[in-house]
Amino acid sequence: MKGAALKLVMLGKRFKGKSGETEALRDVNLQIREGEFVTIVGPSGCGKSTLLSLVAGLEDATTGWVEMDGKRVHGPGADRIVVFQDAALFPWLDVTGNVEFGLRVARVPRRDRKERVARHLATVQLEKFAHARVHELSGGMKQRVALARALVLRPRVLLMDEPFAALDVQIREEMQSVVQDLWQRSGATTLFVTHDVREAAVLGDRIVVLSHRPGMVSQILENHAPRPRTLKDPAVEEVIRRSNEILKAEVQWSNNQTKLLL
Amino acid sequence: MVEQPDQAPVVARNPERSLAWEFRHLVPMVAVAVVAVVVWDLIVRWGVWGILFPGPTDVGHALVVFWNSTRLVRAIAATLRRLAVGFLMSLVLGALLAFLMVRFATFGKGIQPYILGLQTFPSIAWVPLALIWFGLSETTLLFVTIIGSVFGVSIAFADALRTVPPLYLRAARNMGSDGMDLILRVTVPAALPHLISAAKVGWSFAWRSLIGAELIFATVGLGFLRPGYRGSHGRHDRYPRDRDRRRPAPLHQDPGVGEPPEGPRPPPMIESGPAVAWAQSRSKTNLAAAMKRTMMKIRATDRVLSFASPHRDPR
Repeated sequence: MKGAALKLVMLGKRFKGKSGETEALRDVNLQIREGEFVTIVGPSGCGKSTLLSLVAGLEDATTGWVEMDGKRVHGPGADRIVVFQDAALFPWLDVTGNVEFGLRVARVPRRDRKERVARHLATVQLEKFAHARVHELSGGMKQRVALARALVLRPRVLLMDEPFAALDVQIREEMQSVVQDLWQRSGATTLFVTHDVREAAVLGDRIVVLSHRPGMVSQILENHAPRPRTLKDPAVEEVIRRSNEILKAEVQWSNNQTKLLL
Repeated sequence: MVEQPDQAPVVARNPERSLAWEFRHLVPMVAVAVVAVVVWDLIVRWGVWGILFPGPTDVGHALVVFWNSTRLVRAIAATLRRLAVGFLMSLVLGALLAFLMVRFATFGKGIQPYILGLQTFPSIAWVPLALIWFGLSETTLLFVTIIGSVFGVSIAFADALRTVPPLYLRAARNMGSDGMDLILRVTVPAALPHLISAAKVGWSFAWRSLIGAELIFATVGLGFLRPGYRGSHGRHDRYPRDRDRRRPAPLHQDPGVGEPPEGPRPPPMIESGPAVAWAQSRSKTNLAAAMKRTMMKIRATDRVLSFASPHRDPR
């Protein structure tokens, strides 16, 4: 299954809370090609996760809309799968039960289901843990199960919401190469949100830098380094340096704004 | 790289250990029971309490008599059947109410205080109302059992459903689950431990309500076996065998009472509830007469109930 082209048009989101209205996102315009790997970085609280929720259809946009292959998106769908920060595996199911969850919902016949689950557990090297309980898994293993659970549905768009933020550095680098590998094999269009500039630079074909709240597209950087990449590639280092400059300017600007207000 | 989870230690079973060893955790419990019975017996033997306080041998004898006459077995069976039916119905109704409360948050917020209030209402207080509605019948016992537990169950169920982490629901919706599928696949399994403890609470509420109602009236059941009612004066071994009655006898005609009670003759028992009165009023199209009849029945129930109170002459 090929990835889908995404188009975010004037996308904005405001939340109504007890302390008045918060504007999380404002006028985000973005065009993403089929099968592209786009990373989104920004200071914390800039609406990165909100952006993914809007694309996934888990929340409704206040302004603007999301198009997939030219058609507007309404509500959640198994063609756009989110991998959450803390995996969000279901503890009452074992590893197999978690991976086949979406297939059961879609009423995929048993034989087909078993075959697809086995294949995807093998691609994340967890075939030995097919019947392990969720609490028996380490953080990295949980995220691999979550990846298998997402990819087994052959999504056209893969949305990753800081999936490796809670992992330690070694596991994180290992997972980054796993993700690159899986992305190349599945061909799914991937939107990867992170607050780690280095991670964004290694993984993304394009790196979208969001501004401080409300989140707006501040700049888009291109990364043409050949895959598989590591942090030591000169091209990657250059992207990291430039992203950091932009983010620093963003933080400084918002600090100045705060000072002016005081 | 694949990390290995911790291996659970394998517990080896010693085949030489005896059956008694397997039940050693029961020893303290049995010891407490033995001590309690001895103390009880001493209190009775020394006459510390004096009035109407049967000792363990009396109680044991009564138990044997009951057992031999099959009264105890039938009482247990009758009570358990009512309990099972009433408990299951309050689970179903409670689950339905809890679902509505969680699904429609405004409705839940609005109704929660009232349900809490009704939950704290003593279930025994429903008995007079139930008697008026359903008469001296099995329905009354079931009604009291259900209404005594359904509110507690629905509050506990609603709380259980609210413990489900929203992230699970988001993840499941994301994978295409929705509506009833989402409830059955995610909400219920995620809340299952809390749902089970909610059901346990419901069980104890139902049990208390039913025994309470059986104390007031019933011809078969555990609550009915309690001493001090029906003129048996605590001597159940003197109580005649329960006869095969098709329907409950009115209290004053109970064969357990040796002599008819003194005072004016009580009114006849209630044969029917307002449903019958309503049906009669329909057939005669005379609402006023039906209301008058219902009022008379309420007064009659009033008298039956005051008659049932334990203020009667003990001998």
